[in-house]
Amino acid sequence: MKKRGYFFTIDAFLAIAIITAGMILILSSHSFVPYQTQTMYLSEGYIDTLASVKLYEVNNPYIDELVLKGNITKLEQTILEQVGEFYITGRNELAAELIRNLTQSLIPNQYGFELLINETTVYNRSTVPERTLLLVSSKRLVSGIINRLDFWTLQAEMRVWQE
Amino acid sequence: MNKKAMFFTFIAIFMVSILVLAFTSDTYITFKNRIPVVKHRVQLANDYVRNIKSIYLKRALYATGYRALYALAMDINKSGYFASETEFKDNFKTAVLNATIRGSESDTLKGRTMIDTLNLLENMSWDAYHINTSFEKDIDKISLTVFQDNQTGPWKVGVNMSISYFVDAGLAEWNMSEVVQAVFSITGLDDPLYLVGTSGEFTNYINQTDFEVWGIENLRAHIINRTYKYDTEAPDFLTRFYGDTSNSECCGIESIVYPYVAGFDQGRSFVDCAYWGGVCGFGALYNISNFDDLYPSDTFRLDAYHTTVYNVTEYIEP
Repeated sequence: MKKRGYFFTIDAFLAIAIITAGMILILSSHSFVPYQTQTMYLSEGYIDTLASVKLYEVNNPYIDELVLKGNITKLEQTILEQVGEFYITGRNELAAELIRNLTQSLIPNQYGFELLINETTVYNRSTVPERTLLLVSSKRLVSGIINRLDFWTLQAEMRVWQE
Repeated sequence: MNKKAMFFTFIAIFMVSILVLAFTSDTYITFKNRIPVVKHRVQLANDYVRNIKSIYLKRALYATGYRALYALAMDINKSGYFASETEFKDNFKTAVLNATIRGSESDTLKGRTMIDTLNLLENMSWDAYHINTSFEKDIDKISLTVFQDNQTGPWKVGVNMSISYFVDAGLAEWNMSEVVQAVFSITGLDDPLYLVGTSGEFTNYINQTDFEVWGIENLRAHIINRTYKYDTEAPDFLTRFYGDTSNSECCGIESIVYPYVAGFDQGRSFVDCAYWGGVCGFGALYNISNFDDLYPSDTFRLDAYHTTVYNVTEYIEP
């Protein structure tokens, strides 16, 4: 009689353990969260960098070349403001080359990224795979003045994705 | 025996439940995972609100203020001086805010006013950040002044604008009332004195001279280059819009009327503010020799004060 009690107790433990394990397996089988922290930090951090670092703070030969040729005249502008000025004045190729020069070593190769100004792609390091698991977008407003007479403001968007 | 078995079963279930509850994570912080998102959102909105005053409105005021002065000079070319300082400043305000000068819409300013910029910012803040921004756009509730003082000096103009705006980021709201200031150089703007004095036939662009020491050769170069110098007896740039040539100690500027503009009226000093009937300079009038190649013989004259200022007293002829 006492032995039956032990059997029933052990039986109850086993039953609960099996039910619990089964529920965990069922509930977790369809949930998958891609690792998003790094992508988000890249997207936010890089556009913040472009929006705050001024041209005179950057040691880059391409910027020096643009200054010498007269394409950059205001070194106190931020990188994003200069990209915006190139965009406004129809010099998208200079904007793309500036971004390419500044991003080569900053964003790891396993990430693709794209910079858009007013929803127009200015620079794209790789095409967006249709089946990418995670794409993070960060936006900033950027503004400037052309010829002392015209104020402009644009929307800059940085998209970063895992390849 | 069956009752004992049930009793043992219930004990087993109870003990397993205790074990499960003891090792589950804390659940009293129900929004723990959302805190980084909320923090980021508020930080983004706060940065945007800070940038409204320090960057967007300041730059917009710079551009619209400069363009307004340009347009006002063009209007003076057609319609003459403004009647008073008050009329000038009222027209400056309407020019900046809604492209209106003397009651008419200016083509130079249309579509590029401060109100247009505020509308653009409202739309873009929603598109980029999903933040609702609402600026005060009733021009009677916006205060706007243009000035020159010891801080701007003679070569710059300051514009102050008091404006209210409301920002709603969903998680937080800002109700702001700010004074935005922009200061810009007047270099390159038309001088109203020339426009009115020559009935629109000639203009002269404000351009500061490089000379600090004067003599006959520097004066010659100053005339040829059509530059301006600071002088405490001269009027400032803004007072030229309403024909007031009284002196400005902080911000007076003057030029010498260049040869083909001058009507060779021999009764006046060739300093611009005196040439067109103003009161700058004083003392007797003197011919200045050595300028016969620029002006017809014996026509170039300066008043006694300016012969001293330009250090050409040894070249004066009675």
